[in-house]
Amino acid sequence: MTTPQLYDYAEQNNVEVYNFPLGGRKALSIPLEGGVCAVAMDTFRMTASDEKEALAHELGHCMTHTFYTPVTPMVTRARCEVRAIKWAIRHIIPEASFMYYLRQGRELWELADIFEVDPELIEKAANLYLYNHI
Amino acid sequence: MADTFKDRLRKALDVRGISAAELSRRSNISKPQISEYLKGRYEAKQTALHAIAVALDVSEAWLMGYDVPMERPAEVKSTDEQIAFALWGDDPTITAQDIEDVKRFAQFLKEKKK
Repeated sequence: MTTPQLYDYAEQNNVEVYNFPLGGRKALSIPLEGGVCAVAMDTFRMTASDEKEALAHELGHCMTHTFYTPVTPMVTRARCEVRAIKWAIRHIIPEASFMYYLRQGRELWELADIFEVDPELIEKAANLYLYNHI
Repeated sequence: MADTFKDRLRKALDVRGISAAELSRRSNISKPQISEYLKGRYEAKQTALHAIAVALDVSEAWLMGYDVPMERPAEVKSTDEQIAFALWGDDPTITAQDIEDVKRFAQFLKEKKK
């Protein structure tokens, strides 16, 4: 999915996305009563790839219902993050396309350009698709 | 993730001892739609999933097949310790600034709904 497609996906799934100034992380989400959630995106502090990755990541939390509280054990929070990252990867770096370009012998930075994400996420996608872990 | 949505839905109906028709009434989702879910033809989208989870008093994540407790977590509360959220990034550390951001955003949403 492209960034505009992610925004469309959010709208279709009743996820509210707001441009909202944040002091810490560049994006966060909170669940709302009624089965929807809201995403805050501090887009003024984001690059284009940040925006795509952050929205996909927060949608991952919303769609897999992986939220936590300050008292949630660290290991559980880490597990929630892994689920959100996996969801994001599967939707912005689809496995079939990723493997296609990989077979063509594309470099890491080329894949990052193709999928419009940071190389770090491409490494995570490689770990997910090739070794089934992040 | 061993169980699918269909499996978990069936299991929840068994555990709660309610019929598909009763679930339809409680969740306000049509009987044919519930039937499609039970056959595994479709998976519920966000709002339907929430309605089913509330009607069955189970967690949405569990209903989706994740390895989490079946019990429904507490809804969003206003105290710092109970407010639920998720942050961007793979670092699970939460700072005071993060909590402040979450509270400001929650307040913004609350005012928007008025």
